[in-house]
Amino acid sequence: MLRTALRTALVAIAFSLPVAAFAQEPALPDGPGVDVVYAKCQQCHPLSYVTNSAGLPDFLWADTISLMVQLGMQVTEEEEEQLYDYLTTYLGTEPPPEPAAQATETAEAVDGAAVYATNCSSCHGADGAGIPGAFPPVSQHAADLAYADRSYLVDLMLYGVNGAIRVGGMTYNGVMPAWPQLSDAEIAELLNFVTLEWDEAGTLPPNFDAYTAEEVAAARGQGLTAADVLERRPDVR
Amino acid sequence: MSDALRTALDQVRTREVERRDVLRMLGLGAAASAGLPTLTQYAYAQDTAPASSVIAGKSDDLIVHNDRTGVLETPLEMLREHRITPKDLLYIRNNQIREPEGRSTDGASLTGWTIELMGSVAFPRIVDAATLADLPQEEVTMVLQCSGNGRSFFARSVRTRGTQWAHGGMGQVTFRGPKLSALLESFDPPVAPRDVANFVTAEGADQPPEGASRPDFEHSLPIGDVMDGAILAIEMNGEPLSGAHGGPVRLVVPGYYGTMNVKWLSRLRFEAAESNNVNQIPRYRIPNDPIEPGTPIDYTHENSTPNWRQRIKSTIFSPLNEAAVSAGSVEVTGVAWNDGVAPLTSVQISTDNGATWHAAEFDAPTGAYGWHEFRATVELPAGEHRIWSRAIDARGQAQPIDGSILWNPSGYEWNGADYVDVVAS
Repeated sequence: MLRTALRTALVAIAFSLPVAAFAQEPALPDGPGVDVVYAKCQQCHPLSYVTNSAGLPDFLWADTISLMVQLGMQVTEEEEEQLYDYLTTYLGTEPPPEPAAQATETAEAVDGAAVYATNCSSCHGADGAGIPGAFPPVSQHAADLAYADRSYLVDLMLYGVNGAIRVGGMTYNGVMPAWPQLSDAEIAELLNFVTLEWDEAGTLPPNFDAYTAEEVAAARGQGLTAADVLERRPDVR
Repeated sequence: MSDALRTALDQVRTREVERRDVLRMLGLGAAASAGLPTLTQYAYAQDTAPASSVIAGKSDDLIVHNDRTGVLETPLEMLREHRITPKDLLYIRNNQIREPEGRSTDGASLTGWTIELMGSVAFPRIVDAATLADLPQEEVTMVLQCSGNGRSFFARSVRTRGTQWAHGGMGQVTFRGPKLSALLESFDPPVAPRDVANFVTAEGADQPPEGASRPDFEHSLPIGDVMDGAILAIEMNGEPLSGAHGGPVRLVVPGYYGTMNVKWLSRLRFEAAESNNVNQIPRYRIPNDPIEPGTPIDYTHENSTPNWRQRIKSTIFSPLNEAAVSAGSVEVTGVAWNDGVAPLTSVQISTDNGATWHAAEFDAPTGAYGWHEFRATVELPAGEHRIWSRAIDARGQAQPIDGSILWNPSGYEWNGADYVDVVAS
């Protein structure tokens, strides 16, 4: 088609991006009230007028809705409120994260970073750097341990560790308590967070399998002591 | 959607790009990036029907903003090819359309069309539009520009609602028809506006979309400019005026923004006060005093002005934004215009973000209301460059470097100095 060809040429000149990329119907983020937007906002203009206004200040959304009512949009008071709530929430100045990211979180149900922040950061630090001589670092060290023996960190979490270890040329002689009260999923996602997010050196290969709740569940009931876990500790740094 | 595009669109949406642009404008940011603000115009143009299916006779090269009532933008690549913008390429902005005339670029029939002259006048009349052709004809070549043209650039500070026009909500056309003043005087006794009439309110015979009860479209204009300059256009570019562009009869007030040139003219009311129609207030107005971008204003007739006279403006036609050019001498061309009240005195080019400006040559326009074509040669070493243009007129009015100082919630009357980013190699 001539039109498509011309558009392709134009777009290619302007952005060196394929025209096919532009051929999508604008989709609204899912959320309460989205159905009202779909129902009311396409009578006089395409949805793109809505999506292209993403980022409007709240007052301007309120103003826009009232203007659209003046221009003939038929809505009940309740629908008007739903429109306002939806537009200022999802197309306002501070929209929530991408729906895709939310879906992932929902599927996994647990946020490893949050588990870390709640349970671990008071000793190992918010950034996982630890406190030299007192609490060993988690950042990078966890990834190194996982690479050497992926089951060690699961055991460490379930049974704790007791005794002298050396990390980064420094000796730590303390006790890390066991955390069996955390759920299987919480431990798995915690380990995924500390190993995958804090692997600056890239120790873990790209095909490293994420920890799973099943894996954690299978490691429960071994009856290990904290001293046993020390025995199992890989020789890392 | 490719990852690169998604990232780009995300940046646009989160306004990272605009922020970066503003920084660059201030000379604080990193060198040119992808020029992303213009991306949006293409990004959303594609989910709509082709232009020719919205309005028969329109080129499918037009950007379709709204395929219901018809909001079509002319890409600069096409606009710059013609001194007089042909009807298949001329932009369209309809709030609501008139069926069936508005759906075609064919000339609309004057037969049976009437225009009511009423209000504060002695001897009101209903005019048979067919008689307009018998009166002395006035011809004017002028820039026709949507008052929202350039709205997308306001997003460099705070996004505004409405059609996200880039540069192409404008064109240069030649209208022809009798002057309104001549029409009024052609009657015996003449249709004489009374002294109390300060405004002329023009109504168009457009129709609201089905299922929506909308007010009629109308605008009030100051009577002085209307009596001095308005014509009742029945021809455009030497042909009977198409329904798509407001035929059979359109009120044309040279120098005024497009919206004030009311299409499908059916009635002129001579009145003491401005209309309170939604299209007169709060729509189609800008604050009299600048407001902080992103802040509200409660419009009154007193604190704001309708989109009447066009602000001084220039648009770079070549090179296009994101163009690759040969390092060395680069020719910059474009057009500049204002409301036609005072002549342009200068069109200037800068390649150092406004630190220094160099005069461009510019031609006399076709009449006071046409655009001036300008050209300049700049020396660009290899690398990334931003080329700016601005126009200045005999009143001392000039385009602001940061157009956002005229920010208004509906994004009207953008006239910031224009720029393009190019890569020289």
